[in-house]
Amino acid sequence: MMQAFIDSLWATARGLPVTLAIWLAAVVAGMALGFLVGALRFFAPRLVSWPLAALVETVRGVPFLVQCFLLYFGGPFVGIDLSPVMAGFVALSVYGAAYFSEVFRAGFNAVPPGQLEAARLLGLSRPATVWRIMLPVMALGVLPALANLAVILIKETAVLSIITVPELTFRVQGVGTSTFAFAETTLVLALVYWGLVEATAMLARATERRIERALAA
Amino acid sequence: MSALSVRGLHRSVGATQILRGIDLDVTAGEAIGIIGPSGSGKSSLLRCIAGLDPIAAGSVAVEGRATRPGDGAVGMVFQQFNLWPHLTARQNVALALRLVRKLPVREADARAEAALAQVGLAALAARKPAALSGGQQQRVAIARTLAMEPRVLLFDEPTAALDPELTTEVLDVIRALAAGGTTMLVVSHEMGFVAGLATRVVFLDHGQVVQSGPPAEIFSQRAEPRIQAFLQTYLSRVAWVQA
Amino acid sequence: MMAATWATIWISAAGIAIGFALGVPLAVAAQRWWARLYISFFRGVPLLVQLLLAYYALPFLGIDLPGIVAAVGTLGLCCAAYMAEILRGGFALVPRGGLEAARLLGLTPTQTLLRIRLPIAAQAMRPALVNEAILIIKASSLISVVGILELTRSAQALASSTFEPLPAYALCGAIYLIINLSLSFAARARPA
Repeated sequence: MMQAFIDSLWATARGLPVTLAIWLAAVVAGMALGFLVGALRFFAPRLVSWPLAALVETVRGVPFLVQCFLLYFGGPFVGIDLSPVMAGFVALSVYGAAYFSEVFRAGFNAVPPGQLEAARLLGLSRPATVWRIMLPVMALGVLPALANLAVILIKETAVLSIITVPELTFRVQGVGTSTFAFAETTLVLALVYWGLVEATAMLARATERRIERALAA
Repeated sequence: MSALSVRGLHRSVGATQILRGIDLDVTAGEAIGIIGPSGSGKSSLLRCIAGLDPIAAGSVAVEGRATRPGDGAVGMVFQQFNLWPHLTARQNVALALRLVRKLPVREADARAEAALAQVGLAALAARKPAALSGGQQQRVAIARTLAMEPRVLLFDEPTAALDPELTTEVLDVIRALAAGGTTMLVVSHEMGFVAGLATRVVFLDHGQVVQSGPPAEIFSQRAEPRIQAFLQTYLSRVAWVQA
Repeated sequence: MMAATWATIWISAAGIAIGFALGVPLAVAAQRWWARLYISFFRGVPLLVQLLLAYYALPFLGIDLPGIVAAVGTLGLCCAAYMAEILRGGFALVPRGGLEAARLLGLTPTQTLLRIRLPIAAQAMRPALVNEAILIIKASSLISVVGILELTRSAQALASSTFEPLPAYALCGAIYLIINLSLSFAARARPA
């Protein structure tokens, strides 16, 4: 029984870096893509923003697991043949981007219109208004939601084990399969995720407070 | 040539006519007070002059030229101040000087400080809007508009969002500007202020100019019955509040 | 696949019902240490891992539940943690005066909770509750992993028997989308 715990910890040491790497990459890519989509949905004409809205609703309405299956097992049939890690990264990025885009769009919407009228009357160009007024004004408002989403995406990475991405869940469950000590391995797995999520959430809150202070000063 | 010339201005939203044929000529240095019941189109008139709201028919010209928002011809001070919350008072004033007038940072800051000094806020230039009172915020907004040196300055109920004890500081600034020869249009419910400030008062009702003339004429027994009725309800409301 | 769709719907509905029922007391007790620990755990561990715990760790402790009970139970327990957070936010919006009035009129705390706090909070929190319901419907796809026949599992079966995963999973995704969109449209259409 002790052996199962030691094996689980060893598997954690191997799987955790993969989980963290995919998560970080997907958060960065998802946030960038989400910002682009959110901005397009706010600024672009309907011809662009409506199809994007439909796309976002679709990604948000289908289970992440099914999207992973579609990309990983269905992809090769349409010429998209990705490794498990790449498929996991792409799927998680797209899934995250859909949610991130909604946060950014809400942020754009929340900028008081009067502040934009003031900018327009003073002659600020459209890009200057977005960059100098809208982004800073919305930044504080969207920060907690962005951090929250990033934390949620950590938990979604566990699903990637099902398409054989060698991340935390996959590695630790692998120990279970070979030793039949599923109770021990699953317990370790739960505790590691719990700690990881709480630690990340704490870090996010600390960062938020710091940014808030910097912006309020 | 008049500083501001409004000709046959119409504006409608859906089937509702907000403005129905406004004509207004303003000479340089004039201070026009615009009064009227709520919904009469006062704010719409200012927003159309500023180019913020589209006009259905008619024209607006400043010194003979058509305007568009951001060309610097028209400045506007809003009821809700609309300061940018992430920037200090100085940065609020300096931003357009740098990005639109393309002034170097140092010069933009110096001009911003001068404009803030003009509204009596030189000491608070480093504060963000949240750390300023409503009256101070509105004065920063005035400085922000002034610094761009517009030909015509529009005030849209500049004290309506303020607590009564904070209105004086804002009204004093506007009075000083008028005395200095700034061409301005002021929409306000502060009748005493309008009477003392304006070279000419325009009374709007249902999107039309009912009467326009010197304050002594509008605020008198000789005014149109509609104006007298408006002023009467206005006075009785004030009296009621005081009682 | 039709039967599997119904399975997904009732499993999700049961999970949401359990989640709401447990979420109310959790929200009321949100400041107690055990409520905080509960919420932190069920929100901190991926649902997939929670399911694995219910399947592998519980029997180890001598608790051997039928698979479907373990799955629906886990879904409900997890949902409760999120419901508690939503309801706590909703309770915060209930004006104090309304609660004080109820107390002065002699309503018991339970009556106040069920007749005053919950209806007001539910009203304000409706979009968040609908959102949570959609998340649970999507999350129910994970119980395919522990071998229960629902929508995703049936798509897997279809994919492996026809060797055509693309149409199988596309159809499966489309069904989830239709369920979720109908839910959010229904919630939006009904007058508040």
